[in-house]
Amino acid sequence: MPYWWFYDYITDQHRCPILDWWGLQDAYVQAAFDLLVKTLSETEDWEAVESSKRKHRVLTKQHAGICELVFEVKGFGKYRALGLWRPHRRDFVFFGACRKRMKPFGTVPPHAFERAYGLMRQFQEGKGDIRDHV
Amino acid sequence: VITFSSTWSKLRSKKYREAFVFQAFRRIIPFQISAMRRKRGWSQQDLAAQANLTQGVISRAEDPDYGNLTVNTICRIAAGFDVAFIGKFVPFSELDRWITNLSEESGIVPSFQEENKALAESERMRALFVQQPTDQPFWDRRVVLAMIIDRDSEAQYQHNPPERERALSSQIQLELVPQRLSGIDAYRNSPANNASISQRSRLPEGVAK
Repeated sequence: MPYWWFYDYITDQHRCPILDWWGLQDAYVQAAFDLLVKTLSETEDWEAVESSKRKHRVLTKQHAGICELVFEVKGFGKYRALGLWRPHRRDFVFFGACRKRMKPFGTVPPHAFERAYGLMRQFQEGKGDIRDHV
Repeated sequence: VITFSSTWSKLRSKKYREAFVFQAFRRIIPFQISAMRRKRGWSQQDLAAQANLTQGVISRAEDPDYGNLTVNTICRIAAGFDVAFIGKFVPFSELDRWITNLSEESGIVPSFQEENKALAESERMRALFVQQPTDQPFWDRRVVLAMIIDRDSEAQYQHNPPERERALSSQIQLELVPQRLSGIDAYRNSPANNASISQRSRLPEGVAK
């Protein structure tokens, strides 16, 4: 049995942001993301590694509450899967993902953090639904 | 969570299959190295010393995003853990099973010394049991067998499925004791606890009196 459960957020419009993102990625990014989820689900203590090597970061400022799962795919760039990390429930709810871009600074797709933050607020207000991540 | 069906359905894409093999190699080996090191209670420095590498190399080897782990480094790390590393070509069904059953526990491998010790101990216990005379009281054999099973529960066979099977087959052949009895508890609950000194003296060497 995994230590952590991952869920996909489903909006009121029946959209699944993380699957929408996944479907647009190259196979290498898809596979890296799938294996990141698998290894994290089987890692009991995410904080056992030195802070600079951790794959999860909980944001504290503009998008406070959002947790980003960071992963890099050689030749493609650095990616962030965005969601709500609930250690007390031992789960993580995905609201989307993006690639961080430096020049010009931003994310692909644009405004991914703002969008994920908005979806998190909706979820916390009881809107939408979640289902097991696949 | 990746399940058999979801992974398998994704593997139907040739490009995804290719990518999955690359990413699995890059991400699962660091996961296993980290799990094995932490299970042994070692720091990265400890593993580096055992593997004759630097701590920086171990840190990178445990980082799934590093991606440039060489077979040479992997073999040095295997030597540090005193375990084997095999790279082999397998069908995708085997990769799928491996990933589906992946866990920190499943990736933990005993060192050669641990395996050797466990094998020697199981052979010693087996010899003890086999040497019991046929007219030995029932409870004597029961305590010995309970000890074998107790060893099983002490994780002696945790990394040694063949020995575990052998111990369990001993249990099945003799049909004497329920599984998972503690050796000491079995002894306390057995007639041996109330036996005379002369009876107790017939307990095999190593059995608590």
